[in-house]
Amino acid sequence: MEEEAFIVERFKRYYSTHWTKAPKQVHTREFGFGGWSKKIESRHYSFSSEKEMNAFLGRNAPLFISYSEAHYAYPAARPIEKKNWLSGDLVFDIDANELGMPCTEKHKKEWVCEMCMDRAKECALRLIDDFLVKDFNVPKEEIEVNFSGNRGYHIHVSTRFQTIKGYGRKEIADYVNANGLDYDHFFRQDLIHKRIFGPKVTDGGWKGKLTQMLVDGIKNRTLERLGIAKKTVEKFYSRIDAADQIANGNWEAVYITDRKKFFSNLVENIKRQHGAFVDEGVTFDTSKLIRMPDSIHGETGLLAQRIPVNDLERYDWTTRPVVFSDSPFRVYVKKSQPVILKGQIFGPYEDQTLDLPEYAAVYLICKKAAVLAENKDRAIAATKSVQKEENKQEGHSVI
Amino acid sequence: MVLDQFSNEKLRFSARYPFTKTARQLLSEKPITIDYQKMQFAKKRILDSLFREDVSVLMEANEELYQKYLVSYPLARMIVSLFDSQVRNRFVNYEAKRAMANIRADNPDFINEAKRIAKELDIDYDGLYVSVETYLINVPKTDEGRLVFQNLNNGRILLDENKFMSVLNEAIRNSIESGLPIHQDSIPLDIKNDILQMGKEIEDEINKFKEVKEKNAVMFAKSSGVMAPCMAKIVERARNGENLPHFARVAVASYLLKFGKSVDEVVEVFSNTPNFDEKIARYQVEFIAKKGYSPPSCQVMESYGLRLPECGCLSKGGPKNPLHYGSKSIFKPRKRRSSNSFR
Ligand SMILES: [Zn+2]
Repeated sequence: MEEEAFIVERFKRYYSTHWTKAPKQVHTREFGFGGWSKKIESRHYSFSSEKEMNAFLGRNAPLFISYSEAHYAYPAARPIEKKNWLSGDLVFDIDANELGMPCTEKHKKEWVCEMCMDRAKECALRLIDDFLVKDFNVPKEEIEVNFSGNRGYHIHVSTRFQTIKGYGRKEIADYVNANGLDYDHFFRQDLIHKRIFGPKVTDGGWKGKLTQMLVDGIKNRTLERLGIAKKTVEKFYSRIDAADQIANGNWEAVYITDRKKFFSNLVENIKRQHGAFVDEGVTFDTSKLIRMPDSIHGETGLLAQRIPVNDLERYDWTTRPVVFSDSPFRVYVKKSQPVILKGQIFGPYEDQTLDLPEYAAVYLICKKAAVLAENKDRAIAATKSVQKEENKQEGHSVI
Repeated sequence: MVLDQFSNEKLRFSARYPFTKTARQLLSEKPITIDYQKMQFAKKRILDSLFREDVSVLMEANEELYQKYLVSYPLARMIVSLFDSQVRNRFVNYEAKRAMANIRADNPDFINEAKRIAKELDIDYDGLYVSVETYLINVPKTDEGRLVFQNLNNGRILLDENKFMSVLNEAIRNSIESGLPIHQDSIPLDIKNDILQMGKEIEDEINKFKEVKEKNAVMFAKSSGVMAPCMAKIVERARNGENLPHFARVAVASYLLKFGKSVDEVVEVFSNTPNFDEKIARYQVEFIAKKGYSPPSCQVMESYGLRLPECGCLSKGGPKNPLHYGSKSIFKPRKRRSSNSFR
């Protein structure tokens, strides 16, 4: 049996025995589907109801199911201009491999580990609590979260901000990522008195946030954590009212040799520690297709499970989203990183034939790191021919 | 007929701001009747937008003139819909400019007039705050307007008078632009012929306008050599009068300067964009020139949705910055990506 057929068979069994909840106002959404070789092979599909969608999934068992964050008058029309965009959900994508974590370099972007996945969850929580709820005043119950099925989390707001166009959405993404905070917009110089006015803790937005972080750092004696040099830190600590002065916008209370440099360094650190790290492209592209919650991800065989927003903090990605059985299957693994599924670690494996529970076999086959044991020889031959061709190409480019 | 004071005030407001709810309501009370004068006025609205840089304001007038101003607006919208986006954008920008001039002209109490218009455009400004949603729908496309610099708290943004006026300016533009182009099937049957007729009548002048623009564009392109497609696209959009995001303006200006264009040539590229003010534009371009800013990398262009696949960038051996476009490296054979996966 081919791997593709093996996987499709399992997906089909799942979709024909499970009812999948459709996105809100399903009849206004465009759908896209992917298969063994491409995440989106075909798009411009639409369904009149949840029932129709489920019938389609049971029949076709696509390996990737995406839908438009947009609502369209004619979701199946093409090209895209003819769909007539009406409004769109606000969507954020947080990817574990885009967080600049040291582990990413080790296990490469195709794989994840507990460390980067924990960090992704932390960013999602930050996005929800610090930005969406606090700054944007979105009630928590209006925020929907799901595991992406592979490397991160998706956050949807489908109640407000619906008619904001791409430009405004980009502004939101920049805001939660702390992009482009520059000195000239935070400080004002009074030319007559040569005084400099900086942001205050009572200011809204990043002006207030950033000042508060610095003030807290002074009060708690934790300025080093903001990446501030030791010599400068001492200056802040030695002035007794430094925290109060800066809280009120008097940033000159502490003498800093190069204020601009100090500020940009501070911003970089705050961005790393307090930004939400959302993929800006997903948020601002109003015609984007995004993974459907509660569908199976074709690169892992895991469920892109919905998570009640209040459960996110406790959500354990290492135990939850498995949908396939424990029955053993014999597979040949070329090379894999360690994977945690149902609380158990599988691998790393290299050039190994072994029995794995169905869900782990599916995971590694979907990642294209393993094949069914019966296809071992063919897989090895295929790898060799790929390598040969690569060598040939290298040879050419030398000449 | 002599109107009572109340409805006269309403008519004056509608004539000055024909895109508001009040104006729409007045217009819907009775079917649009057209005559030669109103059609001529609609024509003038369009041609002025193409050939004039300054706007004249409407202060006190008689009922007849108010009517002409009011009714010619929807007529002009229908006529301008017969032409392409370059002409339409020009019209939208000019009408918005006219409205802003009307608000400010000889009016010490302009802020109340502005608030009244804002209310009609669903802007919930209470004199201090506006909701972040409203703000983002009408976000000023300037550096100062960026959300990261706003006082945002609890879903509201603190706006001073100046900021409020920039938000209103965007809202007015959005309102004028919305619904354009009007599909021919939506033009009322009894005036459709006159509209199409007028479209023919001004065709020559539209072509004259386009020729001049075209000539500028061709001259620009000829002296440009091979421009990166993503940047050429932004130039084209600017020439079409699109309301470009601030980032795109800075990106293309820094690119063109590095590409060897003069400040004058770069300023000219923006001359069609909304709220174009030569003095401000020149100041900004000169600033970029003085600082010697490099254009953003292809990666950054991508994150703003401005990258084009035609550039072939971000692939192995392809350009990483629009400035590198056209250098030989793109033609190197692409190496197959090595990976540990089976194919
Ligand atoms: Zn990791």
